[in-house]
Amino acid sequence: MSSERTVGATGTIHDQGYQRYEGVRLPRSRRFLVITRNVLATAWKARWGVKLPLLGAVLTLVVSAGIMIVMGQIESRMGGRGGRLLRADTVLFISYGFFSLFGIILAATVATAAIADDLKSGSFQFYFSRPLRPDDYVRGKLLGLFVLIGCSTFAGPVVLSIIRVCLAEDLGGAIKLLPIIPKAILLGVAGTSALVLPAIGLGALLGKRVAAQAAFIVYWIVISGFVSVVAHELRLPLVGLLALNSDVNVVGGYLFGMPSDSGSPEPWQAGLAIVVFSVAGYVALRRRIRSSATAGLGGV
Amino acid sequence: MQPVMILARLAWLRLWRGRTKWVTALLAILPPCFAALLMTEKDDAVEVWQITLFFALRAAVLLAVAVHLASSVGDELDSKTYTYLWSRPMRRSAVLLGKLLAIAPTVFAAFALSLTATWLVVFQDQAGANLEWLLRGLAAELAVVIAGASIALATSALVPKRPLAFVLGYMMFLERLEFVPFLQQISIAYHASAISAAHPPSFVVGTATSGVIGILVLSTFWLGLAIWRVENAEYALPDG
Amino acid sequence: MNAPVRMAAPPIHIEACSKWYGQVLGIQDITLTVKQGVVGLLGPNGAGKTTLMKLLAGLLRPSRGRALLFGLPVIDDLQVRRRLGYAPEHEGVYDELTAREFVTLMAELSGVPRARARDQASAALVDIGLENAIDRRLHGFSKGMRQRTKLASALVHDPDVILLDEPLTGCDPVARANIIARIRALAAAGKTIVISSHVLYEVEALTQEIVLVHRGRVLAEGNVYRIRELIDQHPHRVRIECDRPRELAARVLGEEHVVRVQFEDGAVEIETRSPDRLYDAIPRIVLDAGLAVRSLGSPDDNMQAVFDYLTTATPSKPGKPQKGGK
Repeated sequence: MSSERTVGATGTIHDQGYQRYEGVRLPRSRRFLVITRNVLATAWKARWGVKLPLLGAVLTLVVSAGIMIVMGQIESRMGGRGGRLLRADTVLFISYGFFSLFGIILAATVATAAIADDLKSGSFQFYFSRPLRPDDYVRGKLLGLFVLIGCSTFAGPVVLSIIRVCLAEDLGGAIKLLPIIPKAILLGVAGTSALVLPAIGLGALLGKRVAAQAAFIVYWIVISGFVSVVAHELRLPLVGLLALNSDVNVVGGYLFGMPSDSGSPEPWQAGLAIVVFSVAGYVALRRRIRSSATAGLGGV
Repeated sequence: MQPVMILARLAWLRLWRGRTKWVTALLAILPPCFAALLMTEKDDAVEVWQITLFFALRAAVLLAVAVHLASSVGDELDSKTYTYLWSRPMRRSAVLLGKLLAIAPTVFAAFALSLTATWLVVFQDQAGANLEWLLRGLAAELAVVIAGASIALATSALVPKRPLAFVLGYMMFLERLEFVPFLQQISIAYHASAISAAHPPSFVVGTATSGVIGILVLSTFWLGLAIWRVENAEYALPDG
Repeated sequence: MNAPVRMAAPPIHIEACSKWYGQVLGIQDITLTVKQGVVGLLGPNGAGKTTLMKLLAGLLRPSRGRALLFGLPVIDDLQVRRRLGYAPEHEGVYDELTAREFVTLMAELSGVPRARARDQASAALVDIGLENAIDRRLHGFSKGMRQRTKLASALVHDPDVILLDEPLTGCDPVARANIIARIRALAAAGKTIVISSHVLYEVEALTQEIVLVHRGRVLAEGNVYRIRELIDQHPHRVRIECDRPRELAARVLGEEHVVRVQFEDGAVEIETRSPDRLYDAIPRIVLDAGLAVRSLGSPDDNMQAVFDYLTTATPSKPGKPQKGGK
């Protein structure tokens, strides 16, 4: 049966009222910021998992600053005896333990789910059907998570170090104390990387939020503890490198002049372990994103 | 009771066919391995047993039961399978109790094997003479499983969307209160230490009886809270 | 054993029921009775259909009012739920289970003894056309297969009231025909079936009784054609294809109930306030003029038109509800 109508060479466009956007478009180099904003906006909606730990970090900052002020006043009444720099570093170093606790909760809540949720919901087909490169997506996610978790593990110690410098009695004292700011920055970067990259890497590897969260928590609570105790008891410092939390502690202890445990690894070894874990997390993330972007994976 | 048993069968089937059982298996392997490693350096078997049990109860056992049960409500809400269950002629809390009935004995059995293996590794040919350590350890493990399960279920009912983060916060903050006088009564680990007698010498704990009572009170409170919450909460979101 | 049923208590009765979620209104002051047979629950997205379904299924507690099954509050009386079957809209199931295991589980939870539950589950799945996939894990099921499994789980325990939320979504034409036939058979057997759907022609294939929900309120209920008659703002349209449409139109224009005529290629569309009078007049006109009529129909005497007219009408002052009986 042949059709009486043949397909013509002409066509008609009907005006549906839609107007193509002709204005200024965001430059490609900045599109990752859209992803970053989305990470932060989504995370901010979580009351218990995000706002509460951030509140905890703020309280830690306030309490630590208060302790530093009180200790400073006690010291000035005692006539300046004792190592003031050491005391400032001690408060900073001890408070970092609390900042990292809240950072761990943030990482477990947000970082492990950052990729896993997108994989499950099939969001990649929306992202990569637009002029967004996989690298933009990765950069955006990482920046968002670094900002969020860094509010506790980076901003906390850095702000505290600045407060400490400001509490110096005179300009000379302040200049003497200045080195603790870059130390706090280094510790913040190391601690934040140690949380963000392994967490997001686990989410990318396992693909499911609950599984990634469980794996992350099991690692931080059980395996790290197990490894740390074994390394300490058996005096095997290299085994202790598998525990990221103690690696960060070793690096922090070195930076702030804390006495080190004989069973602890060398600071450079601890730093290298942090780098290795971070790179592994990043590689897992990149590989998953690249394969998902081209394979069109995602969604139930 | 019948819906509880049916749902327990469902939970057991899903556990067996799923992947989360490997989490328990991995965590259960750690204590005997840990003890074996420590025994290469330490001569005092009792000290090794105490350190291992101290670590196992606070981390491995508690986390194993939490990983399985903390998402009890959240899983049903995420997949919307709660619509099948809660439109049936049964109480909503049957979902929690069914999972508890399936998971708690499984985790207990896994760690009972683990602790028995640890006991054999640590005490070796003196094992028979140190049976009391094992029995107290198993009793403490049972206490942690029951109390940990109750807390995990309460978490699942109270914060179904991010239960594991809440569990993490609980373990990192509230359980640390075991070292704070008076407040230590709300810590599972504190009561477990009393039952097992596995704690640092300087650590003051109550008696085994007070430990059991403490665990029962905590478990009743958290489980009651979980049941109350799930019976009365409305998790359904507005939709068309 | 079922709970004692009050004599003459309707299968479904909703009494002054409202439901809100914080500031969001789900449904508002709905009173509704549903008797035996199939009823279509229609409404645009966000109208409150699923809220209504969930209230009837005992998943939500009314903020005000009551939702009753056979005279008993479904949220509080657990035993009355043995007579209820609910197939939700979503696709979520227990992926680790096979179809048979899933439906058996649902049967057992609905009170079917364990010894019989497996056989009943198998029968329900075969009935719905899943005999070849009965022991496959649900993880590998297509959308249509999941849909049918859900349906089987809602029917396995032979409930008296069946709530089906979008039951035909994702089903191929053969499966649709199968399900429609099944629903008709259930209605003929005396069951009460409420179907919520966006696919109006499919609901039309099942029933003429509808409940139209819009913005949380019941906008219309009853026979769709009676409801159509009551919609005064939209005159009925009748389309006639014939050899001389202009001559037909000229004769029809003399009728005072005719509002407008519009011509198309070989056809005329007549708008009238009284379709019955027009249908009476047309044969007489056709015979008198010797016209050859090829087709006669009403483009808007259907569920779609009723849906469109009622849900897009500007809101007017609430007045006495209009009723049209059979």
